[in-house]
Amino acid sequence: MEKEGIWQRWMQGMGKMKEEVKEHFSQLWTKKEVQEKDWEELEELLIQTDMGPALAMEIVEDFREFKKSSRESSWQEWLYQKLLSLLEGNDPSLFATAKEGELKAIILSGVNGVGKTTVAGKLAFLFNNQGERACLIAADTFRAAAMEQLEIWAQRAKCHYFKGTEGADPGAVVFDGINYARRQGNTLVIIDTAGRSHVNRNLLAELEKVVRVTKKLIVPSNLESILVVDALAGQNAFLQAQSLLPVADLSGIILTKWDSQAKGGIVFRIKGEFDLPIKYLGVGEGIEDLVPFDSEEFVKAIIYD
Amino acid sequence: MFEILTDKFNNIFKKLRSKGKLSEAEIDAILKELRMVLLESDVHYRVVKDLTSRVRERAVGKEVMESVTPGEMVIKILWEEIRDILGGKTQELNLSGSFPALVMMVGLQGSGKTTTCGKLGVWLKGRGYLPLLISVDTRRPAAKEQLKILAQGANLEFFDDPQVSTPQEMVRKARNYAREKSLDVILVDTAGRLHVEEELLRELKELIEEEEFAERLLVLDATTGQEAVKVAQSFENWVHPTGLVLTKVDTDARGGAVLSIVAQTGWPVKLVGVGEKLHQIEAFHPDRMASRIMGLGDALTFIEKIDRAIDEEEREKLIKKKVEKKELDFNDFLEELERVKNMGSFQEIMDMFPGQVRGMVSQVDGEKNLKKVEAIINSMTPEERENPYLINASRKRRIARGSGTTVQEVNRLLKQFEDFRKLWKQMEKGRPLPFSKGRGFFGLGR
Ligand SMILES: Nc1nc2c(ncn2[C@@H]2O[C@H](COP(=O)(O)OP(=O)(O)OP(=O)(O)O)[C@@H](O)[C@H]2O)c(=O)[nH]1
Ligand SMILES: [Mg+2]
Repeated sequence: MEKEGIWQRWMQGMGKMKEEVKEHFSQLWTKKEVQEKDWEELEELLIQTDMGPALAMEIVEDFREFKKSSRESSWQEWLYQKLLSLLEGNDPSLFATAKEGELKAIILSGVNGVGKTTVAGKLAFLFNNQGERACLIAADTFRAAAMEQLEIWAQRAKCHYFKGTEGADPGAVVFDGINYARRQGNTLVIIDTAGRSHVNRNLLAELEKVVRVTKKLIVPSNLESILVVDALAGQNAFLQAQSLLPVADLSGIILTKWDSQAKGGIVFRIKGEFDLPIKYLGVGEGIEDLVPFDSEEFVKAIIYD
Repeated sequence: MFEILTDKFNNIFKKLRSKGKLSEAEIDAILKELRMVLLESDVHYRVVKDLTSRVRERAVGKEVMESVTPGEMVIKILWEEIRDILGGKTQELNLSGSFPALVMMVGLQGSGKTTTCGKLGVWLKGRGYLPLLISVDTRRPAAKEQLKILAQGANLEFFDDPQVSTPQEMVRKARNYAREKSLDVILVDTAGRLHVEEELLRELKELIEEEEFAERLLVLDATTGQEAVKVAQSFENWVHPTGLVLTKVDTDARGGAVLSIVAQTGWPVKLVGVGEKLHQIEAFHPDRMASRIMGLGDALTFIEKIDRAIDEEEREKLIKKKVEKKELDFNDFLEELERVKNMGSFQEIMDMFPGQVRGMVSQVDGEKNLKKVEAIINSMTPEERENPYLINASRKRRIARGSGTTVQEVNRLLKQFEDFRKLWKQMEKGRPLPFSKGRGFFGLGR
């Protein structure tokens, strides 16, 4: 799918919101006497994006300061720089420092229903098209028909597929799966794990084991541990990241369901707090609906259209 | 969270010494903090605005009491407001009308519709109904398979006909099947769809226009953010849901989205999902949810639950003992575990607690290890139980042998006990949980 097209499609949804926000900024910018109420409204519009109340307040505060001190540059430029600075240093590439010729691995984790399995299928398709030979490993041995679901994605992506038995220990499945992939001459394994509540200790321990096993078989530079987050999620996504960060040794985030027109403002907060780069956006249910996260485009689109 | 808040409030009140009545300045200072809490909990900002202005109205001019701080008073008013919004229309599932009754699950992708279908099946079966499960989800790979496996695992009837091409036809066929087999409720799982996918929503609209659904349940993920309000709006336009099912309540999501939706639509919350297993579905408690949204944990209902479990006398005895002895010992620990066991699975109960408490205690590792824990304590001498420091290496070996466990397991319990003791001390020192004056953690505190 064409990259521009996707950004446009996504931004259509932002349209209404954006206009509102922009109008506000614009008004606030030109007004001589701004009422407290107006600032509050601006803050609310920002809150609506799920960036969290604290960050919204911070932006409004900064904007007030800026308005006091400067008359020259435009408010758009200011907001662009402000939002971009929140995403500073975001590197969306996977395997930037990978060793060639060594097997690579992606582990996908996250709470239930966020879109892990779909992302697994999309990534397999994407990397296969880039010349990798991917193998999908079904480490969700718990949820009914989870393995069948991934198998269908493997067929769609035309890639190898490995599954264990139902109820098997996911760590053991991953061990066997990686060895299988090696034998088959795969260059990349993508591990789909079961959805889990990030406050359930047993399930966290299970994930930790999956990661441990993978680390034994894959060199560190060739491993990406990705948290899958739903763009519709509110502030809890922040806690999900916080909880899974140490357990899964996360290296990045993929945001799904971006086509929902949710503003996904939680991205700013997660990036800011944990410095976890956002790698991709899921923008639909089709196999091609995955786009690399480009922070400049992202912010530019919010402000300038 | 509550402690942070009360600290903040205390600071505020140092500055604003109140005389007799709550002043507007005081209330606004408190409400400013509470506004942040609600927004952090993903309550929609407009709902937050409404709520705070209503609380302000109710709180201004209230008498300041001896035993309750102004902060607590405002918190309580807010809590009541939230509870009343959530609980205004608590309703049972409606299965009247045409026979068999049709119940439809709708919602966004990944919200938990399929699992909820299975859970509802088990729930209804436990209440004497004979449910039939069907899926009209032909979009997501292996969606039907998932429902089928769930049904089989729980001994529920499942129907599918691969020949069928439309949802309408599927429902018709399922109805015939249900009538033949005298099944009385049909649970219909639908494909997840976004609130912006009009074509897919139209498909649902057509289905409900043709068939009479006793319930059209919107399945809502507790982790949803500000967009929830738009989701509700859109589903209201197309499907007119009759109620909500809130899922993933076993995470630490505060679930403010449910308040946003109920405040906007008035839909009753019919059930909540609290885990991945099919029995993990519960009736909705507005009071519990109100505490949760305000970051007070689920302590309130939990404590009431405990209250019923412990008779007054026993507790008094316990409290007295605590006062004299001050240190928690293994006898207390065992007693508490006994009590907890009577109230549901250990894990389930621990999950009701706020994060930091849960983190420490669930190391006991749920129900499975509970038996081991008991066995280990039972293998201790009375002396050892009262003074765990006596337990040296050889005693550990003896205890392990006696309880059929390992020394490592004994060690682990001793370590956990230490944590527990610390926690208990904190509880004793610290404030009791909100609205629970005189009670405490595990019924142990003060
Ligand atoms: N609209 C949209 N739907 C998506 C996207 N990604 C996933 N989905 C849908 O979300 C639902 C859940 O996706 P899954 O991939 O099964 O999620 P999961 O995290 O693997 O779920 P569990 O394994 O059950 O925890 C499915 O209906 C997907 O089609 C996306 O980017 N946009
Ligand atoms: Mg999955």
